[in-house]
This record gives sequence, structure tokens and C-alpha cells, in this order.
Amino acid sequence: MRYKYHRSVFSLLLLIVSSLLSSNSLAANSRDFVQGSYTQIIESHKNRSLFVSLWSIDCPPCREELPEMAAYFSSHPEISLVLISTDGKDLATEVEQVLQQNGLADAESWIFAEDFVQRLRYEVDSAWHGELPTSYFYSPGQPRQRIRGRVDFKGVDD
Amino acid sequence: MTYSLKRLLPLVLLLVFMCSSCATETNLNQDLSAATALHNYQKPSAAACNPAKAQPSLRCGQAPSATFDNNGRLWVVWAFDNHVYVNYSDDEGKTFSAPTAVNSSPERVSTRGENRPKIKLDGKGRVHVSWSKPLAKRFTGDIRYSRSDDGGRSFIEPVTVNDNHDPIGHSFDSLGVSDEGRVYIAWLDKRDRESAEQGGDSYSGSALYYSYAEPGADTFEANIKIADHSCECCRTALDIDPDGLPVLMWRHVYGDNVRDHALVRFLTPNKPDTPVRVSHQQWQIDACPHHGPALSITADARYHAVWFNDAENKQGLFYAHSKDGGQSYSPPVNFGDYNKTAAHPYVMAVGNRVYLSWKEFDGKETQVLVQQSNDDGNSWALPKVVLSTSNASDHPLLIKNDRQVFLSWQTANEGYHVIAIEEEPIQ
Repeated sequence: MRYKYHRSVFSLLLLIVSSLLSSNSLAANSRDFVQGSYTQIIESHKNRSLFVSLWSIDCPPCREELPEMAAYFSSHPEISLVLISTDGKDLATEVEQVLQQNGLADAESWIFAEDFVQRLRYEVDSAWHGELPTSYFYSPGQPRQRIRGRVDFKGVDD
Repeated sequence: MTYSLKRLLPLVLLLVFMCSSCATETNLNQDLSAATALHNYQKPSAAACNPAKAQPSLRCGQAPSATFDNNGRLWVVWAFDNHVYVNYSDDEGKTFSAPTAVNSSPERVSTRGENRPKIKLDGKGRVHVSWSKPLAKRFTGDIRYSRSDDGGRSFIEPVTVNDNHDPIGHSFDSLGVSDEGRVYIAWLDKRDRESAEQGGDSYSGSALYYSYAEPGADTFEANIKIADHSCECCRTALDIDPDGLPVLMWRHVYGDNVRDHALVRFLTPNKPDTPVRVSHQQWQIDACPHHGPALSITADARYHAVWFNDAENKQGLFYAHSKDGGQSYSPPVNFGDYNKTAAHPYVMAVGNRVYLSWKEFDGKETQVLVQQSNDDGNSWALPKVVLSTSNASDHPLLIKNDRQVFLSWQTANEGYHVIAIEEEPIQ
């Protein structure tokens, strides 16, 4: 009994320490978005509703959208959320900080990790000219919907 | 010396015969191999351009912009490791002088998005340079200016042009210089948005601000607000009219996030005329297009403008001109292939010749295309591919000397190009 108690305390401590570590190791959370990543993302979320948001820390409407996005998807766990930052890996730490400040530290996040951004953008959508934010909504069996500009998440449920 | 179309016609016809779109591998490879041979370029490794080890060089420079002076010398400005550098070429870009650092103390230089250092020369050979300097906090910055009075050997200590020194947004500068040396700078400024928000009001976009410095002066006049509610993430365009006064063009936010373009000319250096709306395409979007306009004014005061819009049924790149000092415009003409993400248009007009350049991408290769008009922008030759690359590349820019128009373009694989645009027959 005593042994079990110690073990559970130890597990709890381990959990706390690991969660502290993960929130501090900011730059490690976003995955490298390279050639082929977009197909991989869509494939890994197939058979589910999926919302993909392309954004940048340099884009004011994107920054305004983030907290509303966080609130919306925390109450809609049935929809997968994927964030793709177009900022480049040199800004990964700042990207992570912004996500964390907006309640999106645990969201699936990717960051452009190739200099040839034109090719990365083209893989997402050949008709996308780079305006941000740009989002795509995937619903199983339906053609994807492109949403250009800031999404009114507050108005979505109304 | 002007290029005679008659003299070039056989060559042009040969090129047209080889391929109607002039986009053959042969032509492109010839262009690229010529450029490669001339510049002796090799793609540098990341380590080769690592600021900790590398010397400043145009090959490793970020966002180069160029201009010709009145004597045909080509000047280039670029950023490297928290410095702005200038060097020049007396053989139209085949070889370059050693670079000179503009700022002696390191400071950040914006080369992201559509921000880039600018360079212009006046009739006395003074070299004028401007750039946006980001501050520590995101969306904050200052507009910086420096000048060389000794042919680029040394530069004055950079000055800050914005007279609001709060750590807020001042960025996307554009630079123009009259022949006598008056310096005009316009930029996007957040001071009015900041004060509106502090008062609890909302404010869409930024404001367009402007200042000027008298010839040879090291200080700028009091800042003048041109317009509230500009788009906040697109480059501004500035050219000089035949009276030596600036004309500004920018993407504006009309009403509820309609992002069309506006233009203003000046009556005197400190008196802007009323801004005029250039396009009525109604692109309504709460987003950053990252896509500003370009403007070129001829000696007979014709304004030639290009821009990108993505409104319903009005998608892609557009060209229009004004014959009445920017008060009215020809119907916008669509150019470029929207389905190949035609982007980042530029325009350069010389007399009645007008050149458009832009970038397209087909999934593998980026091409820079040029389209030419010989009648003030009323009719156009077929687009022609000037250069292509299979890796990252900068925005293409057009520059001119007294004879010809050139493409100025940096690519990751091939380096920095200055390529003369050959004349094309009009269809």
C-alpha cells in the first residue's frame, strides 16, 4: 500500500515535470512543413472534419483570429484543427509563443521549413496567392471549402 | 540612343518562330547560362552565407533593389547581417564594386514580405537609401534614411524619418528623389490606429504618411498624413512626376474591408492633392494580401499602374493608365495566368513603351514574364519568359537606364540578375 502510494506520487510528479518541460520547450512543438507535408496532414485527418488555417505572426488579422479560433475549437472537439505558420523556422520560437499566448499551445502546428515557399503554397492550393489568413474546411465526402481572410468564429454557431 | 524595332525585328521573329510563347527550354537555358557565366554564380551553401563566417556580398545579400544613375552606372542596395550595403556596376551588372556599409552601427533591416531597402540617385550623383527597421516588438519599426555625397564611398549616419517615435508600426517605406535631390519618403504608419484604440475606438488598417527633405538636407520635414485606412501589409509605390513631385499609390481599405487602390499626386512638396480611387474591383477581405501596387510615370506625365486583386470575377494582375494626372483611368486590363499564381507585378514606362513584369509558378518552376506595349499601354505583345528558376526567388523588379529596361531579380540558385529586356513586336 505504502509502495503504491509512493508510486502514484512519483507518477504525478513525473507528469507535472514533463508538462512543464513541454510548455518550456517552445520551438519543438511545431512540425516542419516541407514538400509533401500537406498531403500527409490531409491523409492523417481523413474521415474527420478538418479545419486548416494558414497564418503568420506578421499578419494582424491572423493574430486577431487566433483567440477566437482557440475558443471555437475547444468547444468543437469533433473537428480537427491544424495550424500552418508561413513564417519560416527562424521564427519558430515566436510562433510558439504566439500560439501559447492564444490558448493554442496544444494545437497541431506546422511551420514552413523550406525557402521555396512558392512550392509549399502551391501544394496547399495552386489558386492561393499568399493572402493570410487563408483556411480550408474539409468535411468527409464533401469538396473542400476555401475560406479567405479572417473567419468569424463567433458567428459560425449563430 | 534608342533601340530600333526594325533592327531587332529579325531576332524577334526568329524567337517567335522558335516558340510562340518564347518559353522554350533552349531560350531559358541560354539566358540562364549566359547569366551564370557572366556572374560566375554558384548556389552558396547555407554555411557560406552564415553571417558569423561570411563577408558581406551581393550573392548573400537579402532583397536587392537597383537603379541606374544618369551616367549609366547601376547601383544596388541589399541587406546582410543587420547592415544595409550598396555597391555599383559600370557594366550593367556583369561585375560589381566592393560593397559599402550604409549604417555603421548594426540595426535590423526589414526584408520580409514586401519590405526591402530602396535606392535612388539624384542629378548630382548623391546616393539616397531608405529602409524599414523593425524594433524588438512585432509590428513596430522606424523608417530610416541615409545618403552618400561622395559617390557611395561613405554614408551619413542614418536618420529616422517618422517624427512619431513611439514603438509602434512604421514600415513599408517607398522612396523617390527629384533630379535636384529633394527626397520623398512615404510609409504605412500606425499612430492614428494606436490613438483610436487607446480611446476605445476601432480603426481599420494603417495610415499613409509622408515626409520630404530638401536637397542635401539631413533632416526631414514634419510628417504629413495622406490618408487614414491604408492596407497594413502591402508595399507602397512612389514615382516622380515631370514636375519633380512625388505620386503615391497604395492599397487602401474602403468601407468594410474593401481593398482597392488609391493614388495621390502633390501640388507642392508639402501639399498633397485629394486622393483618387484607381480601381473599383471591390475585393472585400479581412486579410493581409501581402501584395502592393507598382507605378511608373513618363516624361509626358502618363501614369502607368499595376496591382493584384482577387475579387469575384476580377482576379489576378491588372494594368491601367491615366492621361490626366491620375484623375481618371483606363479600364483595368487583366494580365498573367491566374492559375499559375501570377503575382508581384511591376511596371516601367519609357516614352510610349510600357513593360510589365510578374512571377508565375507551375508547381515546379518559377518564371518571370514580361509583356510590352509600344503605344502607351493600349495594345500588348504576347508575354515572354525572361528567366526561370527551380528554387526560391525574390520579387522581380524593373529598372531603366536612358536606353533600355532591365529585369532585376535574385534567385536562390543563380544569384542576382540584371537582364536587358529585348523589344517585342506588338500583336
